[in-house]
Amino acid sequence: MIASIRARELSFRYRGQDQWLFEQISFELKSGQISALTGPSGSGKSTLCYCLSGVIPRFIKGEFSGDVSLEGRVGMVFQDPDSQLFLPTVEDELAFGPENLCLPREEIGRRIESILQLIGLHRLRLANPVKLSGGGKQLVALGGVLTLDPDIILLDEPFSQLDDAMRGRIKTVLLELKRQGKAIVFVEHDKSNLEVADQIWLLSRGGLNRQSSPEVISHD
Amino acid sequence: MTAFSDLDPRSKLLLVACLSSGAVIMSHWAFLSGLLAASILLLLLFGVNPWDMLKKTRVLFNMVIFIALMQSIFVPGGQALLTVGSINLLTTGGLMMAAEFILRMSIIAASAGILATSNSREIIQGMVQCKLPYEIAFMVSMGIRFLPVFAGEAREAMTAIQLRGVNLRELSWRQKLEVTASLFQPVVAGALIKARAISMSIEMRAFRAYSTRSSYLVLTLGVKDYVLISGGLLLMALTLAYYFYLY
Amino acid sequence: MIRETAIEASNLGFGYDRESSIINSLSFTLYRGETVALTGPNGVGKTTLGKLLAGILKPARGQVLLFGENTRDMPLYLMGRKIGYSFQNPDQQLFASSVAEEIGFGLKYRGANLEHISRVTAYLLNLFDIEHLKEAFPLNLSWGEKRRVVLAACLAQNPEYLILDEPTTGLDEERIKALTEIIASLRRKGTGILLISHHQTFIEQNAERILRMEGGEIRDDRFF
Repeated sequence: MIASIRARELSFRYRGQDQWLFEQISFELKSGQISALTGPSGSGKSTLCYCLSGVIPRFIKGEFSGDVSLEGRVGMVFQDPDSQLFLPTVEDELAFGPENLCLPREEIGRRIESILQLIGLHRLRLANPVKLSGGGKQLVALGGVLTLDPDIILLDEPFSQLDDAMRGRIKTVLLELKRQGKAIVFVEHDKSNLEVADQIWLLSRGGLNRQSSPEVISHD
Repeated sequence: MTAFSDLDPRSKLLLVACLSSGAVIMSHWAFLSGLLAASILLLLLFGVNPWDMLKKTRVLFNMVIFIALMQSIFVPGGQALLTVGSINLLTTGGLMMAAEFILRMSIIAASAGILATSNSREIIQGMVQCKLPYEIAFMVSMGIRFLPVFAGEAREAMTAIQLRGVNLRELSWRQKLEVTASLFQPVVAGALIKARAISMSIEMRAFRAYSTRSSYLVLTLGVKDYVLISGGLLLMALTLAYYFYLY
Repeated sequence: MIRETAIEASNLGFGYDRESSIINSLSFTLYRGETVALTGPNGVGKTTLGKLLAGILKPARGQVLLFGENTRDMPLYLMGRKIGYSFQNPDQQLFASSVAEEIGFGLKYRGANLEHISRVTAYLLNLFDIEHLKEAFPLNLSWGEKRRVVLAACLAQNPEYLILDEPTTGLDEERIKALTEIIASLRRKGTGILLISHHQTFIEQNAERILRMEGGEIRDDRFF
């Protein structure tokens, strides 16, 4: 399988920090695989996703070195759903990405239709995202990225506000995306959500380490 | 929902442009009252209850009345109605000015109410289909989105402060000032952080295409739109002609 | 054992607009020294119910009694002295320019003396393992760090009741374990706690009673 994310000797620290958040980390993630990124709060998991998606160094200032090469288009769902939703209906949110890709209208309609089906938000197509519950907002944010049809998908704690049924559903969605050959990375704390991952990476004290298989972890 | 609430946002934009430019051009209470009546009629047509709207904007409305009265005191004219010593406090000219000011502000408020019956996405699309560049239309809509973000930010901070058990009324003036000043930086910084987060999300969703950008939402003008647009334009032209040449 | 009533909701109803009602005539009682989990599917109105109980929203129908007083007549600051409330999104309640100030804010403007404030602040900074962040600007922290700052600021008020909306988001296992210990010690002190959460293991470890909402109603109210 081809490597779809290749990071070499990544280091980063925020402005005003004396210590590196992580230092000289290198890894490769393949397409058609789901990788989970875990580690203590504040260990830099979100920041690492920012580096992979290009948000760092474009938006966030700090000291950054190393390089990231990506095979294909990258999409990222951020942790805070409130700051990713800015259009008046769910449909508009899902249309925004493909519109920017200049796709024909019919294709955009098809994508909206299939993603709404996938994440189960059909009923709320014309609802205002701001008025949805925390979990509902998370799903819309996910949908807004999926309609871009990215090859690499980064998800920052995608399950945190979802109920059990939705959690199960999104796991199925991730497995389906994996089958389509996408590379998926998700940040997660809760061990019970790691079962869908092919590999688990632990970010801790500035270093990144690959863990033993998910089965071992979830049964301990 | 009324039969007219699904009117094309472009029709609404045009009607609003007529109303508000009319309010600026004409300065006679009779014409202004006519315009206000027309805008209230439109509000009703689009399913907005003007009375509810007035209740919601009560603070703003009181402020307008206050400014109007101040104005009427400082810009006297016509006959004096109330004098203190040698100063004319209330004059017919002053009152008339106040009335015109209130009418104008009401027309503009009603226009905003008409536009608010379409969501921001529809308004942007309306502007784009009127050949306004997408980035400008988008910026306008983000600007509109950020006013409530700022207001919301401040309101959230007030709620949060009270939830910490602090009674704002009980504080001394010095403490009130201190709290307000200390809020300023976090509220502004908070709004900036939010703005950055939103722009990150926008950019991560391929926001670059501008003029070649496609659109899922396509607006089409219906019969109702043509009727209302042509009726509105005709009425406006007749009124202006009457105002300038015959009146 | 007779338990002291903390919050009593009767025939509670609420909707965000006239047409739709999200909560229909709920009645239940929450006690001091009891940890209750409020669960249910996404969008069922758990957060709305939490805000109604804390007086942030006022009921459209029915009433909430908080330690015997009707929340409709209570100003927000009095609610804040009785209830510690941690929002789902911590950004919404951080407003100070440093973490230490955030924690001491309530005490400072309620007239506590400086020595007391610094003692409480130091204790909470230590309890939530955020000493190293005390000078940091709260809004720049990570989600999990913000969460802990908010919890610390709530506890600084020494509330008689705590409502925590999705308190585990952004917290790693160690930190969730630490939160579990804090909750247990609060319960021993007699504080009542309502946890709005989807986190199954967290609920099982902490709650002795579960309220499950569905379709604007309480479908299930059971004790472990």
